[in-house]
Amino acid sequence: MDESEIKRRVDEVFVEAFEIPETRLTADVKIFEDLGIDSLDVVDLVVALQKKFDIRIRDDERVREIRTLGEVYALISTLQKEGYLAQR
Amino acid sequence: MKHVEKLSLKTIVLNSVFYPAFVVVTLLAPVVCTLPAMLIRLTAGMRRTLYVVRVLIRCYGFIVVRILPFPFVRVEYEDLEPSQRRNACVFVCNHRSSADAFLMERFNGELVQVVNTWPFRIPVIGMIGGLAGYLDVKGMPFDAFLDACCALLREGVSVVAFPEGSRSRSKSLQPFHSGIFRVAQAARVPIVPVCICGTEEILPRSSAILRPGVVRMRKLPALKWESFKDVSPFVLKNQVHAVMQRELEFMEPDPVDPACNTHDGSATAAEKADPHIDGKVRVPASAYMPQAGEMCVIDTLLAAGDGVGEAEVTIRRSSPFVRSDGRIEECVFIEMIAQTIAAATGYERAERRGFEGYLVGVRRFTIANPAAVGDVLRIKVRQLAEFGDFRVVEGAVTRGELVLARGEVKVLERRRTGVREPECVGISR
Repeated sequence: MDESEIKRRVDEVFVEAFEIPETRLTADVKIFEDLGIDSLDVVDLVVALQKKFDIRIRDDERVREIRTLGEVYALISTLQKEGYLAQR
Repeated sequence: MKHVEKLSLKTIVLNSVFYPAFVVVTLLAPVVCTLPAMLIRLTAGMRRTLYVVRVLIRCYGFIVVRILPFPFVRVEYEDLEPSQRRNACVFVCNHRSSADAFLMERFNGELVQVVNTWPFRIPVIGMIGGLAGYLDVKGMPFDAFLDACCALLREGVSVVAFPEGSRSRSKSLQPFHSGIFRVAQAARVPIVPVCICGTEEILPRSSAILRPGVVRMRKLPALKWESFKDVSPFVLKNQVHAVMQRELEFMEPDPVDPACNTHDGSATAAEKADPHIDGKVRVPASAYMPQAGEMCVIDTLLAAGDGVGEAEVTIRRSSPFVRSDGRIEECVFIEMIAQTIAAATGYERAERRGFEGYLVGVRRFTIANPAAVGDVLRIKVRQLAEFGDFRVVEGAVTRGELVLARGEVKVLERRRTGVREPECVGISR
């Protein structure tokens, strides 16, 4: 899965699970301040990402560091490189 | 050098009376609460005790909000769904001042508030809150908070929350936290949005000095659980946020800019250059409605679009609705609202008097203050519903920050068929 595919599927999560318009989804957007996601919503985000990418990231400490959408793309990309993503 | 605020006489009197009385009432409150609570605890059990304590807290709030600051601070409360049954629900309120928590005495039934940790540290008040089972949202894990809320709601106790999390520093609504919305979904109870404005002026965030003024509190119709059970908490909180934001914008008229009060309805240079600035316009209202001449009770259309309109009028002695004492007949407020929606609709359709309108109903209309010759009034309207040719419109007439009248009107609108109808509709004298 290339970077653009990861980006597309992460964006799909935000559109489907949070009904955030795609136009607002840019790499530098802050998921807490700009998108209004709170700490409880992050749990929903993680669940949705797990489902979308067929991975388990709930206990990954790196999730706590995420501040921007670009960092979500980067995390998924890193997990893929580490071999956690199911091949599709 | 530190800026020293000059206080009005009213403010000085209000604070001189309120604070000593507030201290006395607050110190007496634990005594008044504790003794009955202990007696009831011995005879009727914990559940009954908590009920009594919560009722006493409402009485305390009533005294603090409605008696001690009277007549300098008034609370205008509106319930847009008064027929609603008193089942347990989640009240969602906006938060601008520490005074907001005291306003909850207006709600019927037994309730607890969701608060941060710091209010529990306030002497006496924190103790009473703890006694009543108020919830420290930051002092417990979310799962425990959810369980506690669900248990309360099952017992018929409503939960009041301020999902902004802290007091807003401006009049705009801060983003919501989703916790309380998750509670409503889990407990299968309705959400009742409550909009509060005015407390930020009476007890500002950065000051302990009370100011005279009016607090407006509006309880909106409940959102039933069935309507939000399938949406995500994130989407739900944003939907409620949008509803409340829109309501607050409607409740709070924009401050009147004296520079705009030209009284002749003439436009500024910028408006002449571009009359369409973010839905704002400045055109003679009579050009877009069926009424003409002195039957026009609004002068200038200031905004139109998306079922919303705003107009302005200067009350003139020559108006047929002005009485001998210089005041206008109060029923004209109703017509002002009806004509404002007519003008806004006409402007949106870009049609000049292509329609005729009939005022066919008035609901929940309150007239709070009179208007007199020379007053410049603003009329804000918003369409609530449309059924065929009928429209239900909510409107408010204000003078500066003061609300003169507010309510709902129902209008019937028909395209003109060529037969000349009387110019005046809706008002009979």
